[in-house]
Amino acid sequence: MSQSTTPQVNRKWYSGMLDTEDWWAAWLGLFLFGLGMLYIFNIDAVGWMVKPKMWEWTDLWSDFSWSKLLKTSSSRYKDWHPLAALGFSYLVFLVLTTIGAYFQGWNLKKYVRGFTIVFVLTMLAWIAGHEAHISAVDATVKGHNYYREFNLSWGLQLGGASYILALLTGLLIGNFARRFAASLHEASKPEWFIKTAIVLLGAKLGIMSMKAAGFTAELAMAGAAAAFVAYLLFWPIVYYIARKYFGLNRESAAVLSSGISICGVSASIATAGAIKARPIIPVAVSSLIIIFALIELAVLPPLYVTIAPNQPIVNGAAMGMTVKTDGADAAAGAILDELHRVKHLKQTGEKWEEGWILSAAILTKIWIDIFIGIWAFVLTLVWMKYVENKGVKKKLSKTEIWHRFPKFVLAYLVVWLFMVALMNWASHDVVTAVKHGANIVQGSYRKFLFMLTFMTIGLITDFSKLKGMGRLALLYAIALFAIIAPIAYLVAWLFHHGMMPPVAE
Amino acid sequence: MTRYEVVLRYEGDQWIARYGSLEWRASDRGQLEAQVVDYFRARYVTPFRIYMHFDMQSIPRWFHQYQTHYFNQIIEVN
Repeated sequence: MSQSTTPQVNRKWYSGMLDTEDWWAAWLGLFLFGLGMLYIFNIDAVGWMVKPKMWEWTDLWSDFSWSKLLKTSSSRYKDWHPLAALGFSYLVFLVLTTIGAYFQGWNLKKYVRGFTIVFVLTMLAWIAGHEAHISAVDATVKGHNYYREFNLSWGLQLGGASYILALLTGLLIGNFARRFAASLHEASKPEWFIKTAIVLLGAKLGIMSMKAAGFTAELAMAGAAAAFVAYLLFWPIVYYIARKYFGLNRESAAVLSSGISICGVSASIATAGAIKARPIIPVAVSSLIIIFALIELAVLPPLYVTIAPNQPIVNGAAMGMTVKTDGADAAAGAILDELHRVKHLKQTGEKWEEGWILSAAILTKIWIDIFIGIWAFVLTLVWMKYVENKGVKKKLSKTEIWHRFPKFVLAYLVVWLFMVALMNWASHDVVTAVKHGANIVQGSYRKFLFMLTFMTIGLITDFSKLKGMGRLALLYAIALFAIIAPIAYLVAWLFHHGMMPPVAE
Repeated sequence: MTRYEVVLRYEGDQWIARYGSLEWRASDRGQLEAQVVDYFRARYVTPFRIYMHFDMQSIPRWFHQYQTHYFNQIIEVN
């Protein structure tokens, strides 16, 4: 435990606004979204962001050019050299995140070094994942069939394989070069990156709301229902099994039940705080959660696509209820989105619009995140009444709910509602400009942040931490695969079956 | 009602409460609360409230990206 003498306590409602990652995800996401909205004034402040192009290695080998690998996000910056765009993208993200790191009191030297290496690794994985033999699909999309254009004789046809490559790279380093991975930990912040990306995804949801308001509302409401199921059904079952068959004490059973059945690490900490458990309990449980989240995100997307290829939204929502931690859930949702769209494209030649399956996974998870504060509050009342020391009279402040509320969700809602308001009430020209800016930030920026998330999830996942946790790992596996995954799937099917993503324009 | 603010930590295997330069330690949180209450009851006029704010610095920092709050609690002494 840290020996710092400066306490970090949440006394006021605004505590943590400048020194927590949760708030910094909100600030960073809103800032980037704000830059995108400058399109309203005909200012393109975001189009410089670099993104990879589809490329083919023999073509590149015979005539190397950076412009075959990278391009800017907007045609207004098309004259920029790709390396200039790459360097500028690095600098902007480095400066913005280092400001956040400074306010959060991190070691800036370690952060800058770590972020630089993580950025390079992430970019390499992002570019490699766009090699045509890996990702080109033999189908025409927006007038291009890259498989045919590159005259490929074979190809994996995976669609976007960059996420998997980033995850594998991170995992290899995290498990086979542990000292190097540890040196990157100051910048290995998957939750920060993914929460910022989710704020930007609010822009996507805004655009989606215009295209299919009923569909989006249904997604949101079904997500809320799913959250109730997670709390009221999963938790008591897992708690009962942990106590009855695995002999865990009350503290450990409650913390583990929340971690397994609600939203992973954040739920285990919130629950431990609610029952005032020793902090070593959620620390131990969280190692298990992080490793299992990685297994869930690797196993479930291909499994769901294989067993239920015609239920993409059901699969997305089931993912949101099953995969723990925001980072792993969003990552699993992104893989699922990619796998489903590629499979559908290969089978029908029709391309589903990107992001709807991912949004199903994230909306469900966000509801679960929102309710964690209320759940912890209720649990505190129960613990105070039935379990805790009765010698002193205790009161519970409602600000406990606020302190546990995920603040990045506020930014996500602000972006979503802002988009809906503008697109409903602004002029046609403004709407066009807003869509343009929003598409860049929720496209290139969000995908880059997702890539950072995949890479850093791999970097912090150390499978050797499973040693000595056999009994807990067994409980986790039973609860996950025998209870949570099947029930989550059933609930997702009840609320979402038959829903399909729209076809891409 | 008068309020006193105490910072709560967990280090090693002990709960620690700090009020200014004063410090109480106990392996059991109930015992710690009793020590703190006894101190204030002996010196100050009742009723009052003791606000115990958990210091997040005593939780490993990599944890903070998942949850930024552990718990605060209020003890009321009449």
